[in-house]
Amino acid sequence: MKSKSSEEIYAEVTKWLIYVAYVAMALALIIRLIFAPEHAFHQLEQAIAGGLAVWRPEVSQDMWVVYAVGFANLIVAVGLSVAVPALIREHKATAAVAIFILLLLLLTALAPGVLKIH
Amino acid sequence: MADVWGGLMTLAELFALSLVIGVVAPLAGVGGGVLFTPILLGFTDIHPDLVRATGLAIATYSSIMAGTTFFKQRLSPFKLVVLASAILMPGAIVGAQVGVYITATMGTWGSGFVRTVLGVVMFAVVTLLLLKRIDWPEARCDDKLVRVFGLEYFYHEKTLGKEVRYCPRRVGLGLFLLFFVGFASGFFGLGAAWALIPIYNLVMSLPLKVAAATANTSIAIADSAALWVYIHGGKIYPEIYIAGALAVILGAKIGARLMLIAPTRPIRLLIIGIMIFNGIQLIMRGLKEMGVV
Repeated sequence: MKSKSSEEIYAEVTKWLIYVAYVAMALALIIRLIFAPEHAFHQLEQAIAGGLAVWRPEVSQDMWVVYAVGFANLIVAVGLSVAVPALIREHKATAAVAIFILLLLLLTALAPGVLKIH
Repeated sequence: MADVWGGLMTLAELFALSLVIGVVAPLAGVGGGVLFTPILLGFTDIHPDLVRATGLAIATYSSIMAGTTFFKQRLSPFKLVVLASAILMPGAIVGAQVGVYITATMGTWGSGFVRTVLGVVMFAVVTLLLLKRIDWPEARCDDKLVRVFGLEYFYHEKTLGKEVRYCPRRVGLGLFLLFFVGFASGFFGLGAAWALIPIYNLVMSLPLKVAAATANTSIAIADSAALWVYIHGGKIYPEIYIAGALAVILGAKIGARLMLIAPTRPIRLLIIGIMIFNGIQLIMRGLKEMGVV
């Protein structure tokens, strides 16, 4: 049986994950709006007026937003990780570059202090 | 206490505006982020960091979506995108860091600076949109990096009814330029297809269709990394980030379908006009915030 190429694997994995991410983000927003509407709209007023420069989760419903956005932002890392074995089979130099990218992605995602200059 | 009804209306307005941006952007041949960020920075008081983070999210998710189609069709060379991402990504991270640093430490002057430079960039975008491109550059696969990274590709071109062979040329120069594109993307919270298409087509000699597809798929990995800079810094605001990103992407899907039936030339000219007006407005507002005028 012909094994799938790295581009096919990456495209298929990210295709499904992005739809899951859209649903997760929409649900997180709906949860925040239904269960903490005054909190959400108070912050929205501040944001529209330019007064909200930094957002931090304050109520439990906010955490759903953090998880959903975090998940959506990990899609390319997951897609690339799954495609790496195929890349090693196809072209080792490109696979090495992909692993370098993955390390940099994980560094930015998991160790914010390392890259923070502000 | 917040006015819930008023908040819902504001959210609906934001969603509608983002949806319209999403619909018209593909008709004009640009990504949603290239219109979203400048319009919101030019015409609203929302903090630049919140707008730029949303613009980056739009660019990231749109690029992931483009990849699901173009990689399978081999219209976008996956290995070249991986290689390009290794250069675009550090550029985007540095750009995001510098962007956040400027607005965090320089206050109103910093916001004004970001607006002014973005206004200038809008003129660069318009110039690049009007640049003449080459449909079928000669395919020469003699670049050393093509062999090292396996960048020789074939795809089936329907209009020609045959397999088209292509490989990038001047890979080193192209990759060097990509760093600055990544920086601009992270700094301004824009997608980067407007800058990537000329580089892939005119510098790296990829066929125009391949260059456009590759430009659309290239920025996902880089901007995903740059987005963490904004996320960790609390520079995202849920209603703007999620509603804005989802609406622009939904609008882009509608826009892509409308492209088949709508008269794209007048819409493209209209959008270019809006971008010029938006650029002037951003420069005027930015200079005012910087205390220059």
